[in-house]
Amino acid sequence: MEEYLYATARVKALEIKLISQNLTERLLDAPSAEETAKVLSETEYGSYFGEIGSVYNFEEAIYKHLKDVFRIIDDSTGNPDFTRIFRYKYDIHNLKVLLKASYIGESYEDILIPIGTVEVERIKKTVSDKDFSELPAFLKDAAHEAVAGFELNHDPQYVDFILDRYLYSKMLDTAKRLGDFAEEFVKTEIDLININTFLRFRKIGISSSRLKEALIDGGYLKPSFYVEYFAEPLNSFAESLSVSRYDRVVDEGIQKWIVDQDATQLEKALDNYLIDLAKQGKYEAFGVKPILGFLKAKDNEAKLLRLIFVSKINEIPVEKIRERLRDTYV
Amino acid sequence: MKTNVNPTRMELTKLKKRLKVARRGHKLLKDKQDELIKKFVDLVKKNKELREKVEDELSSALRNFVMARAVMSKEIVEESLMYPVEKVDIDVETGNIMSVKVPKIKIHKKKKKASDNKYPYGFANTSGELDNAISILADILPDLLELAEIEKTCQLLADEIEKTRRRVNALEHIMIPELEETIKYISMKLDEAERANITRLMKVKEMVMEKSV
Repeated sequence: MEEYLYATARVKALEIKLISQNLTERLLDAPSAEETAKVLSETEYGSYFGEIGSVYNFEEAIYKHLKDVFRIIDDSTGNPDFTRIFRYKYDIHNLKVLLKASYIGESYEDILIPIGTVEVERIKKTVSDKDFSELPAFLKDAAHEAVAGFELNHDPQYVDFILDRYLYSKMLDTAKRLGDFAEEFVKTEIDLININTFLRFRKIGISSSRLKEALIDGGYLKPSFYVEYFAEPLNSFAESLSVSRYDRVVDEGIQKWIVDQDATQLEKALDNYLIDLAKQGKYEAFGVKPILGFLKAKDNEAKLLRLIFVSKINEIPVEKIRERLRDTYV
Repeated sequence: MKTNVNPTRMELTKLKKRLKVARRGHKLLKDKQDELIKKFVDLVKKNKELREKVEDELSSALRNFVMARAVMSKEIVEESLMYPVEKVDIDVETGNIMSVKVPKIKIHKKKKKASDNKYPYGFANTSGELDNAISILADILPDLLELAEIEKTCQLLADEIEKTRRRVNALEHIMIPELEETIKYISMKLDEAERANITRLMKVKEMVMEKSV
């Protein structure tokens, strides 16, 4: 196994600059979005927020920062697989947007995210030419199947289902090349998504045949597990999960969900589980774990900032934000 | 104030006829106004209830929406919602309340495909908070349209009530008193002429009597 000594050293140096619990409190205490941006100016994000002009464009700053983080990791590891695990989702997002836009016949260019592995322009061209052969294999196959699926059903949800399935199977393949921890990480992510999907389906009452389409294969728990429990009472689902590796998710999220069906705590518990897993990277001196952990930390940090900024802009009370705050990596 | 007319018997008959018509018109309009107001009050009550309900639900949908937006990026929220699953056609027909033309809105839900799905997005990168918002918004649409219908109806009725009230008032406070006064004036004038005539006749009679004595 490669040790990535140089990369780990860089990551360890960058880890210190991640947004800490302490700084999160200060961000929360800021009276307005502008003030929040000012608090951020002493962090890594300072220069990015300087470029964007208005705090309303905070997403732009976040993406620019992520893009630079990805570049640093790629350069220092010499192995693009690390960031690919986190970047594929943007390719898939762009593909979703462009496919749907082509069905509606309108342009949605402002919601493309330019930090995927394939340049936005290239995907745009293939979608408008209806020729996906230029794309990397997994995107090409995904696009073909999504187009076929849409033509069959005319239901945009299937486009998402199909593309998400391709996304996670590609992420899993990539992770396998990086070793056991990366594989465990992606498999866990798939499980957590499936658990959430399962519970959301229960709540909104969609048929189980559609659940099969929505579930993602490749996790530790097989899709058949969820289908089997779909008609069962939630308690028995919770019980069988509590003897699996996801017992903490049951305690922190699902138990409460059974009472009030509130997505807030559940999604927080799911996210926290994955962050906790990634935290192993903090205690490892070198290797894959610290690098993946750091990338997850950055991903999580983007979520944190988004939550705080949207809440500050919309003047949402601090306790509402706190309810949704995920654990931080450092 | 009396109108400027010739104090003749013919004019008097004409005016009396007009007064009768005016009184009948007044009564009819007054009845219409009462009925309109009754309908209006009912509708306004219903309107208030519906509006409160719709506003409650809308604000909770929007709260959910903001929270969904807070846990998902702008791009993902927009991508999730860019292609709607449901299409709604609206027919507006006209109904009739006391000869006021009011709108009647009919909804035809057109689903792209026969399924129970109102969520146009996948579940992997979206949050359950978005489900809540979408579910409330989808359920609220019929209420929203009913509210639109009732609010417009109330507006139209209010216009009609105002117009009717102006007519009733014009009849009650101007037209009818005016007619009454004019009628009074003419009959007094006619009586006066009658009395003058009698006096003259009596005088003539007296003079004739004196001569003959």
